[in-house]
Amino acid sequence: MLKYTELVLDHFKNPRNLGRIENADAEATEGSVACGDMMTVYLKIEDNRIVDIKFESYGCAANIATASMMTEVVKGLTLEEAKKITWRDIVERLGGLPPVKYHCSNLAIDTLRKAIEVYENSPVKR
Amino acid sequence: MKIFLDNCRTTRVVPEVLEEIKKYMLEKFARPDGLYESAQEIYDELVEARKFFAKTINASFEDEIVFTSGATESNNLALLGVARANRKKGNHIVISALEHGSVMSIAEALKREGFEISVVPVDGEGILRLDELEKSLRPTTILVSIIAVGHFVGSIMPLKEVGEILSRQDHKIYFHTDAAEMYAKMPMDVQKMKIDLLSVSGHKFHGPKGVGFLYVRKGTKIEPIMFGAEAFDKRRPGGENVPAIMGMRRAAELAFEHLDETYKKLRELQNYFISRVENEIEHVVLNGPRGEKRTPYNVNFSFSFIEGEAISLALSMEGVEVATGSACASESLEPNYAILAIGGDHERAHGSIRFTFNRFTTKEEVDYTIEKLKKVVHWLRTISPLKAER
Repeated sequence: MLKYTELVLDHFKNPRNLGRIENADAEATEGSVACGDMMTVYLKIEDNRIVDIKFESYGCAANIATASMMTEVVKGLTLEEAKKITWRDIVERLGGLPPVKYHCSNLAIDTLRKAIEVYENSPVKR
Repeated sequence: MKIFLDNCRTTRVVPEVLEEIKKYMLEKFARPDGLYESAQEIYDELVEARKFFAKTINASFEDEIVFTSGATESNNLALLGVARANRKKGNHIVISALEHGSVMSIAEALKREGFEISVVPVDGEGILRLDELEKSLRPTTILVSIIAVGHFVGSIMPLKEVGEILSRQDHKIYFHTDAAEMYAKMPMDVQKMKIDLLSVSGHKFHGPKGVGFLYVRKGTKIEPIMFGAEAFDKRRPGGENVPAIMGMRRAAELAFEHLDETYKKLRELQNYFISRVENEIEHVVLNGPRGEKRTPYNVNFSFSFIEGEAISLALSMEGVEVATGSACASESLEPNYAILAIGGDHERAHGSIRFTFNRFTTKEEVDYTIEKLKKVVHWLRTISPLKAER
């Protein structure tokens, strides 16, 4: 039986930092349609700090909620700090997830890290 | 407002049925075994109930009906009971690709007992491939089990044709059908369809949960799967759940009284639902057949670019309760096998939503559902990185 916490449902219903950033400093898409989970993360970075972050999600409620929580957690952090955030941090902040949904929380972190990697490898940095 | 459109999973008990159950709990509570008057009375009433159910499927004898705890137990008794009793004649069993999970897992259990299982594919609409069925039969085939209605995509299986094919073989092959989604919803005739075993569940037609029956044609070699004191029926020992049986009987009486008008009403509602969704929401695919090949109780759509668990949860927050074929909504994280069986890919399975009606479903409920569906699909597409134009 799948049962979500109130907080997960709240983030699903009212996701924070949803949408796209035009002229983002970095963006990354992870997951696949075949897996049923896919996410795009957009970053705006100044002085190695995440000043804005937005996401789009093709995925289940857990996917949307973890992405939403992840953006709340990392917004304002330096890139080094953001890289240290783990899926466990996000899941704990959400009050837990059903075990079968753990992989969804991985995707939020994976996509964030990929976006940071894209930024760090890009020739133009702010 | 709460609208329940997962009636293929279960339905609510109607007040007439509850009254009947109460009567057999509070007043006529005896069991059928005993020499005193109340036991004798219950014995006679159970026989009457078997007569009633036998008549609803045109069975010849009342004792061809075995009361069970529902379709899962009926399926277990039919498949395990017939397979084990006929092991000397052969070890091959045939099922369809759209069987309910209960038959699928019984088939797995039979494999572990040394039986061989063939799974007959369905076509793109979810209809059994009769040519493939014929090809699958062997001299060692003892049993064929075909679901009456594909429970996810609503396809009505050609039971009469299956019965014909099996009766043409030069050795006896028992024909079982899991009729949980057909019984009391459309006419069934075990003579015309040449069915030997038929599983029914009471809670699919406004009866109580935990009760059903298995029709077993006289002469069928079948073993019991449970053992205990023989109260009423040695094929299924233990005390009969009399209140539930009587409640199921009342539910079936009401369903059959309204069979034709319900069929007609739901068919209109279904056509209306399908055409509105296809006209008002872009990038949708109807899963399963159209018209008379589809049960009027089922509508199933896949919505591109969005995921079914999110759709069903968002709909639930709007008061509309439905089922999804998304892997994310299942404990196994496997995409719905019915959508894959009809040739759909993973995305189509993940984005599939099943809406199932009951006898009382109204146009107002369908209208409300479509409004909420449009809102939810639009919202999820707004937040999805997948877009039609990209």
